[in-house]
Amino acid sequence: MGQLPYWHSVELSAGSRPVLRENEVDLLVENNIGLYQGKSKILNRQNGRLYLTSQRLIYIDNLNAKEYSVSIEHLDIDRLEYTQKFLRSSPKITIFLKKYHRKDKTKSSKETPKYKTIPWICPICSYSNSVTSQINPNNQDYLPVCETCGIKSTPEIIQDALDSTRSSITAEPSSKIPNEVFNASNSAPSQISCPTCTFLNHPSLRNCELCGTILPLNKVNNKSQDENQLFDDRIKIETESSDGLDENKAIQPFIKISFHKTGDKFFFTKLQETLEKFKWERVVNSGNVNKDAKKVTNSSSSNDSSRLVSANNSTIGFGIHKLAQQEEIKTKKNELIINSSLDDLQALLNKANEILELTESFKKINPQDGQPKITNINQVTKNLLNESNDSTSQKLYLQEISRQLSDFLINDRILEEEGGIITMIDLYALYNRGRVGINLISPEELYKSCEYFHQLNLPLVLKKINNVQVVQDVKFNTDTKIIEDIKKFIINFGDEDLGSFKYSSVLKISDSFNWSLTITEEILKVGLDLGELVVDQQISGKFYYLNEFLELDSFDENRFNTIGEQKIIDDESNGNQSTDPTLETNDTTLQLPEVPKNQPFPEAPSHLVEFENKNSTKSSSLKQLEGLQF
Amino acid sequence: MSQYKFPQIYNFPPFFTKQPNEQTWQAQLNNWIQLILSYCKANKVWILNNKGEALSQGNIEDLEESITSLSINQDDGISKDGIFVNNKIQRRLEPQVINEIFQQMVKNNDAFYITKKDQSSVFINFYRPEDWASMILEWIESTGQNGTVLTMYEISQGDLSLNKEFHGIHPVILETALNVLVKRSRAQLLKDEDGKIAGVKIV
Repeated sequence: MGQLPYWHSVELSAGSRPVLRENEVDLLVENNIGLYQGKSKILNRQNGRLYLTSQRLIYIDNLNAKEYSVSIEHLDIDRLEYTQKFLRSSPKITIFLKKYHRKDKTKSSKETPKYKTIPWICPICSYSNSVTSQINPNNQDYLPVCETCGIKSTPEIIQDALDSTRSSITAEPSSKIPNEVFNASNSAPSQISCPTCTFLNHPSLRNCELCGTILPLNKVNNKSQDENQLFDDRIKIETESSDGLDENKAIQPFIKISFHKTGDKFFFTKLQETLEKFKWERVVNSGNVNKDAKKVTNSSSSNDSSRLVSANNSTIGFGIHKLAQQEEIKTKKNELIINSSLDDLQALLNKANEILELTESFKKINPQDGQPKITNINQVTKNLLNESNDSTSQKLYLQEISRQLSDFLINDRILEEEGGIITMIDLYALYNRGRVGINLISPEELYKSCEYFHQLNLPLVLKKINNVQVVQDVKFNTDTKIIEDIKKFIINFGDEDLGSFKYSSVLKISDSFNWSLTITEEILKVGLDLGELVVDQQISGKFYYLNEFLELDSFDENRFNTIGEQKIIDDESNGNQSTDPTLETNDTTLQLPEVPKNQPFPEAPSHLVEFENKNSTKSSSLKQLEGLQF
Repeated sequence: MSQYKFPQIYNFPPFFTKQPNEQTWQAQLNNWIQLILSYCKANKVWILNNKGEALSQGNIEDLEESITSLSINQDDGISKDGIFVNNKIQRRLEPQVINEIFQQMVKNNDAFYITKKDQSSVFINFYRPEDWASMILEWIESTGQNGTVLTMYEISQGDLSLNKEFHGIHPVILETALNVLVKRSRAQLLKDEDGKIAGVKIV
């Protein structure tokens, strides 16, 4: 057997974490996992993380997460077996999978035409009718009638339709098209309505398309669950050697999870618990709990107990029988107490739920529409780990948080809103606000998990701008590039003072770049340190200018003229770009401050020479700064 | 006296804030020194205090008067608030920064403090003492006064030096210039009983 049909592909987030369904919850993660199919190792699946969720077992490969990640539905799991560590063989959990009615591919393709409907087009109204392919075109009595105009078809039309479909089937027998036609035509009556949201799902789906709830297996669904439909052709599983499942079909198919390091026992118990819970929930959801139970009325039970009590009082019994009876009365009493207290507890819980709903409704009323909505984070908690004190699992925990941070920042567009840079402090606050409840992480944990960004190839950078720790998107550039952007910004959008110098306040830059004030100030500080910007500090605030000290060095009194000229050029460029105010398009104006100042009306060649000179002096001064580190 | 035209950088607001970056600050400092020197040269300011006021300016007739009269010379070329305040852009240089500038100027030999104790005002060497010295020497040689004894007054206020740069030179600065000549053994100072320089003989 090449590949068991139970493997499914997994959607991954940017941070290489599985994307969970709506009601799915992470339960446990274990690192250093290898997968087996049957008796043989599966190639390329020997180093990964295994996520146990409430609905699936998800394997995410550490080396190539996109390609090699697979999942197994709890639905398919029949039973588990645990194998101890033996000599050099790692401890393993064997998962036996449910055997589904298996159709051969050839057989199924043979079957399909039987149920297939073929379209025939009414010659009168040209409506495309359908008819089962079993029809005998020569039987005049049973020729189909057009659904719209009621005209009977002719044998020739049906024969044509039959021929055309057959030829298309023979042309590509293995393609999915006939299957799909088959499904589409037959599914209408057998769609499965989702128990949660009532969406009508395609019968071959096992989870609701909209809300992810597991669909009940109705008869049609069950029947249609042959292996070929489960089969996920996005995955390629190759085993090291023969998996031993092939020869004897009586063997229940199984896979193995090998724990190269620790965590096996804990994972096993947790998996067992989860499966039991999963099964129980399915039973509950299908409404089968206490199906046959009869409700015992309260009055009868109280009568019962009173009868017992009275019996206790009236008769003075002897012997073992009496003792047993007394014991029985005692347990009965205890039961009553416990039951009533449990009822109270239940009532309390109900009340708590009501209160929760109430708070939710208040949230909606709360007029804080302007505030950005913080997406709730699927919690990565220490519960995911078996021993939270162990250093390796601590590391795993931090890595998980690190991955989640990248999901949180990039997928939820938080980083984008923050202009690509966020301080650790802000991140800490935002992230913990996303982690509703008490599962907050400590600043130390946050810092440590940020340190894993590089190691995990996440698109984030943890770095220091001056003394402020920030998390930055990789695609945003280095400090020097940022400063360049700021310079462009000042040139193009800065205010103009009395001396025709362009400047900008911190606020304006912060607004335009979408950075927080702290970050803006720090970046500007970097600009100062690089000597690219200069500051004008007033009581009214700090204003940032381009560094013109070196260029104004010459005490050139002709500057007034050149300023005027430069202003004209500025105006022109601004006019050109008025339709597109984004910063990216301003590259053309980058050279503006280097318009030669000594020559108000230069001839073309000397102009160029001057221009180059300016450039070269500039680059040499930049070269001196290259060694500096921030 | 011609009206001094401030360079464009004088209207550059960050010019009035000490720049945090050391390299930028050095450039700024040099700009300030250049500005002060050219300003003082244009206005013949001999002594500048840390408020930017010219304590001694123009043609100095009398040494006693020049040092004691601390009245501010009201002149068209100088704004009332002095060089360190730019009313046009409403910027003002901090006294601390001014002191730093003075320190640097003294270090560069562009200025020297009036006394060691009082560092609030400086004499400005808008020409270096050496330059003054060679100017005087040139003047003496061209007028054929080699070997004659000249009083200080004759050098700074004499009719012969009327259209020379050093006409009206501040006596203290003149003394530094003459000291340069003494060192080169081109001059001899004649002192009176109080130790003041009464005359100079240039060879």
